[in-house]
Amino acid sequence: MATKFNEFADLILQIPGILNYILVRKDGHIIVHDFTNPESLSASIIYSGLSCEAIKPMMGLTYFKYLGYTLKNNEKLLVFPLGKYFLGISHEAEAYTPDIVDEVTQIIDSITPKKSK
Amino acid sequence: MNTVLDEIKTIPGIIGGFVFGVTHGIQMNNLPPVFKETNLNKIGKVLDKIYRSSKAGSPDITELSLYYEESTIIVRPLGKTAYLIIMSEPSLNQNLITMSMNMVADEIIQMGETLDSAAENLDSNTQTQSGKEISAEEIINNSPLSEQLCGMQTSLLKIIGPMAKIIFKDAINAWIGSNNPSESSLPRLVEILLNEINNSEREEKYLKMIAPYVGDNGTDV
Repeated sequence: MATKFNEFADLILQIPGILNYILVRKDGHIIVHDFTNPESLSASIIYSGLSCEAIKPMMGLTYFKYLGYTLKNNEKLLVFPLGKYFLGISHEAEAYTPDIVDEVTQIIDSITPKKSK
Repeated sequence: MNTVLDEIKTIPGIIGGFVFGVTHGIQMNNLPPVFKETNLNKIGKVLDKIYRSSKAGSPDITELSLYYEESTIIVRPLGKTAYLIIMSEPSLNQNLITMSMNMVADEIIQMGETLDSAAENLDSNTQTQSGKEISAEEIINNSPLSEQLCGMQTSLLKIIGPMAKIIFKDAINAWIGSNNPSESSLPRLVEILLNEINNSEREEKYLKMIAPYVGDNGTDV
């Protein structure tokens, strides 16, 4: 199982412009990552991701695609829902977020049969 | 001040927006009437929590964007206690929204300062009126209620996971803001925490877990 997660991480890292990644399970367990200090980041990713899901019924929204944090240096951190997990990736300021999102979504779609709405 | 929102709304694809103050609720709003203010207040509170938890993980954060199938929500903090929240169609380029927000940045900063000082006034009035300037940490760790509160916090951790500490601290602040922290006012704290959990199954489980700490009074909310 760990190898599968590592293969997935390798695919993510092949996307040009990606700086770091973290895959966390919704119960707080960190599966794989290459961030220096993943502990507080993983907690905030899970809490933010779950809260983004919680807003859906309040606004009549159906499918949460991803959450983006813009940082002071214009780098971005993106959080994608992935079944029981959340995937967090950071990308360079120069990279174009929609392109990164397209590539990450393609990888996610290739490993998950259907989007869970 | 609504002109800032109206200016941003002139961009095709922008649905509208609102300004949410943590202590004052909705300050202005030009979203279509289908978005009820009561709902927007709830959404504002959740977005505030998302922003604060994101800040805990990434201190350099300046803006949040939530992408859904039907729309995008951009959240920009205005000072320490308020947010400008813009909703757009999902196809709209976010750089365009960010640029238009930057164009009205001065007015946005002014809004934030006004809301911050209003929030500070409210805080100091509340503290003066109740005669207590005590922190949530002190109440949890060094007060006659420490044992009960630590137990309630640990139980919350089991129910909602890693953000429990932040949420519990916020709940304590809300509790001491309007109540004398005592055993008799614990039911009010329980009520605040149940609102935060916001899931009937988990609420029930939490009530069972905290029964030894709050007794029958606390679980009768």
